[in-house]
Amino acid sequence: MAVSKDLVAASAAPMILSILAAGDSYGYAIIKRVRELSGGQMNWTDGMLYPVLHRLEKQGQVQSYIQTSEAGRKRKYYRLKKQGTKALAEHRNQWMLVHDTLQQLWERRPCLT
Amino acid sequence: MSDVEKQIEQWRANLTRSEAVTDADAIELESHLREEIKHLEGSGLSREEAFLVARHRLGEPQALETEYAKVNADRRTLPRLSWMAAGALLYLLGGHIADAVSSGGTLFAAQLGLVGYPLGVLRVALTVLTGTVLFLIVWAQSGGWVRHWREVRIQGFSMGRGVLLLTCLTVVAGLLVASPFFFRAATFRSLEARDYAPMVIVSGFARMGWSILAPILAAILMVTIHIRADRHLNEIPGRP
Repeated sequence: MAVSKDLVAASAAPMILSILAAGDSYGYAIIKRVRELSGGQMNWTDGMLYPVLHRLEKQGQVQSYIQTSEAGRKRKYYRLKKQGTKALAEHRNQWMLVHDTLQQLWERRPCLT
Repeated sequence: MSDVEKQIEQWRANLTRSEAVTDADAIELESHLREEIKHLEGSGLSREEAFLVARHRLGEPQALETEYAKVNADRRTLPRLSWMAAGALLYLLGGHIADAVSSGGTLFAAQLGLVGYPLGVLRVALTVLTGTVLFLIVWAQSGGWVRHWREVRIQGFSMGRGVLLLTCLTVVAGLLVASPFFFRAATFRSLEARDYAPMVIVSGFARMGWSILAPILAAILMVTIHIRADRHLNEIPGRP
């Protein structure tokens, strides 16, 4: 089962923010994490992550910095900012609301009498 | 350098050719590509195969450019303005060159004894001819110039080269702007008023014609570019 393109696009920002809430990370690691958690079902086109990250940075939700890895390679890390934490809480509320609504709709047996 | 290294370099050069993807963006994408290649090699693929899969996973360059362009809309405005300024400069420069050639030619013809209306017609013909030749040169060469300019932009522009180029341009522009005045003064001095006046009348009418025609041509050009841009955008896959 592949997740639809629209849903992938809509969930990209909350997923990135949630991963960064657990600690600073960089593009490749973020994608790897999403892949692991979704059991390979959430197939992002890898390159699409970066424009989203840059948009979040422009909106002041995350901040990037360069760090050199053990292997001597320079990597661009992203850190969650205060505004990002706020945005994440807002995303969470909205997603939970959608989730709860759908769950109720799908769990309730139709009343035929 | 191995084949894959060459391919990576080529891939990155392709990306930075777009206005929307900056060098920093390309470095970030390349570092991602390399990690994915390493990871895939670890799972048993050859380096060549790993590169192909990693490139595919990163997405089509065209689609990447479109995504980056959405985020970096302001980054695209400045280059566009600079192209517009370059166009206006070219138009001014072309006008001055045509003026210099036609007034120089008029002076030469006047020395040979041509006067009155025929002299005016010659002057207008020289202006139109020079303008057309310059337009055709720009039309044929602009693709190469744009490519060259992008390479310069990627490699960086040294201060010394910039100053040298600007100095040359100023000297050439100064000569171009000044020369027609001297040519005209010399022509005026060498002719009687009744020989000079018809020439001025003819070129005055031609100038009026161009004043009417130029905005119409500009409008046609604008509409054509607009239609082409729309068609181009519709060809990008994944656009709603």
